[in-house]
Amino acid sequence: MQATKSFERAFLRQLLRVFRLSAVSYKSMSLQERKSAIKLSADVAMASARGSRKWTRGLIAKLSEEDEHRSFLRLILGTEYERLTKPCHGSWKIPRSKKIVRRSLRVCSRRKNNLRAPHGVKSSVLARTLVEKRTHALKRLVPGGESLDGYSLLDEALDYVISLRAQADLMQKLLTTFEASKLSALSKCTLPERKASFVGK
Amino acid sequence: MQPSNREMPGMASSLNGISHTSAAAAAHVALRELQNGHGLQAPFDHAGGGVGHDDFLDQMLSNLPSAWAELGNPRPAWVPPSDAPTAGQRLFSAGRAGESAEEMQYDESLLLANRLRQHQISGGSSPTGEALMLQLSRSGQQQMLSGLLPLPLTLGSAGSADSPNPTGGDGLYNGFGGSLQLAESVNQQSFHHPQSAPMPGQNFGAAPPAAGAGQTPAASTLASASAGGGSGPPRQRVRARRGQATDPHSIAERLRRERIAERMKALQELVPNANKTDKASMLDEIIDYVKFLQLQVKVLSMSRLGGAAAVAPLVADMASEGQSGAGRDGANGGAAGSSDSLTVTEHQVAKMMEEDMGSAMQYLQGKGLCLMPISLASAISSATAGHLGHGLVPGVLPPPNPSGDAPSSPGVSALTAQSTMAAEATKDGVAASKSLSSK
Repeated sequence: MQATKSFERAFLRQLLRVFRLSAVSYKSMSLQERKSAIKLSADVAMASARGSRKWTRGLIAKLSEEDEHRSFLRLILGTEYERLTKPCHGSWKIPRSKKIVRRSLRVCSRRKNNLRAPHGVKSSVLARTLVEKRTHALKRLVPGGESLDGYSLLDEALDYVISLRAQADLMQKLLTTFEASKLSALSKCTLPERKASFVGK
Repeated sequence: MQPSNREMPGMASSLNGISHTSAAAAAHVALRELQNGHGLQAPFDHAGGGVGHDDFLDQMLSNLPSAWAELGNPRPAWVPPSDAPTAGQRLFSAGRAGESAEEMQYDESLLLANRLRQHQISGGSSPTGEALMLQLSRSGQQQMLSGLLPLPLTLGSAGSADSPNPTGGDGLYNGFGGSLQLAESVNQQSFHHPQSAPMPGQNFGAAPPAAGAGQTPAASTLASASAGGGSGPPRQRVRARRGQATDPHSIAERLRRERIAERMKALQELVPNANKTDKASMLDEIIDYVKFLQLQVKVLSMSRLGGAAAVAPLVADMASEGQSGAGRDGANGGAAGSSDSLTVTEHQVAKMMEEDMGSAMQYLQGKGLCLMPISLASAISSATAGHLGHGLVPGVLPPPNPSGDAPSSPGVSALTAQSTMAAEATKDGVAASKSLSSK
């Protein structure tokens, strides 16, 4: 599955815009500051490019936890910020009565347990705990994933992975381009006798 | 479908209690009589058994006068008379419309096809069906072909005539059994151009041998269709598997599990190394991949990406500080002093690449490093992401010119960021691989 072209374009546009706004420079900032500033810009750009999804909202919420970031975010996102930070309703979930689901789960598990004769260690229980552990780990990784149930969690994780991959790829390509332009500029300055026949992107 | 509904009871009643073969024989005999009356020869050579099933014959013969009446009409249109209650009558009237020898044969085949369908509906045995089909094929495919060819022509003209005709013909064909491939292909072809006439011929040529095989599925669909009262395609019910109740809770559970499985499959395509079958290891891979991607973004943000907004002043800085200084400034920022050796190596390689690629490569290999295109590096890093955990971040080296234009510090800095990653990774031997942009 590929991220859409519109997402890629929107991401790049936002990222460049954010760079200009945030005025990342090498003189005034240390590495750590620079790194966090760039990462913040990249995350904001990704979230705004993707639009309105569970994980984008979670991501922006996480980024807004610090006050300084919040003003930054508001500046970048503009009106979108209010829309994205609006508490999302649980209506996205499949409307199901918890009581019925719980009862059915209990019935199913009891049936399963009765089918397998009681061993020393119930393999089904073990398998389920493994899956549960990993589900919790995934919930912690995917922004905004704590409140999601199994299916939506996987759905959001899928979308998040696509966007992350596109984000990393695009940042890489951006880096290549900048390096290329820097190199050509550099060679023009310091090595005038050599031609910088260099094809940048 | 009015005509079919009217036909079915008529034919079914006529066939009830009559043995199939003898009914067919009666049909043959009746046809032969008609043909003899017209001076046409009978394609079916078997003398047939008892002609003694009177009711059917009477029915057909009684309908003949009205059919005869239409003989005089050279009307090419396929107009089933409005008072004809049975398929046989309509069949003959339709057959008369063209007044050609071939159409007689086609009528017979249609009649046989109708018989066949009736047998299927009344639960006729398949051997009978096969016998009929054998007769059909025995009658000579060529005859059939020649018989069938003109029919689409007439139907085509009929279709262009008035509006009720196509529907009548359509209904007739549907009455004959849309489930049979014969009728179906005619139906589709009939209202096309006459130029498509050769096509139905071929279809029919292929259909009879295949119709024997197609009998049972046709019978089943027909049975279900007739059972459903002909209300469109048979509805598919979700059948529970063995040992599972059909109560709504387990159905909901099953649906939920299926959706989750579908999502897992989609994730499997995305995540590398995801050929695991069980859920827990799949989740493991997903988690590792997400962690890797997040780390990759972090590393990329550590590099000189922020210089986009300030390329010009940066270049000025670098020019003033000189190559290695600028390189080390950016590079060591990322390295945090832990990979000075690598930085030195990179500078060395850069210098060597200016002069001679070959020596640069040898130098690298001596260090256990290699040059590779960026695409390959990306592919490798994504492929080994799971294994290495943090993996390799493909770095960037601007390509050297064949004339030996050197990559210098800006590229080196990216390499250093990458080598930082490699240093942090706990694998030995998979050291930083320098990437060479393939452009």
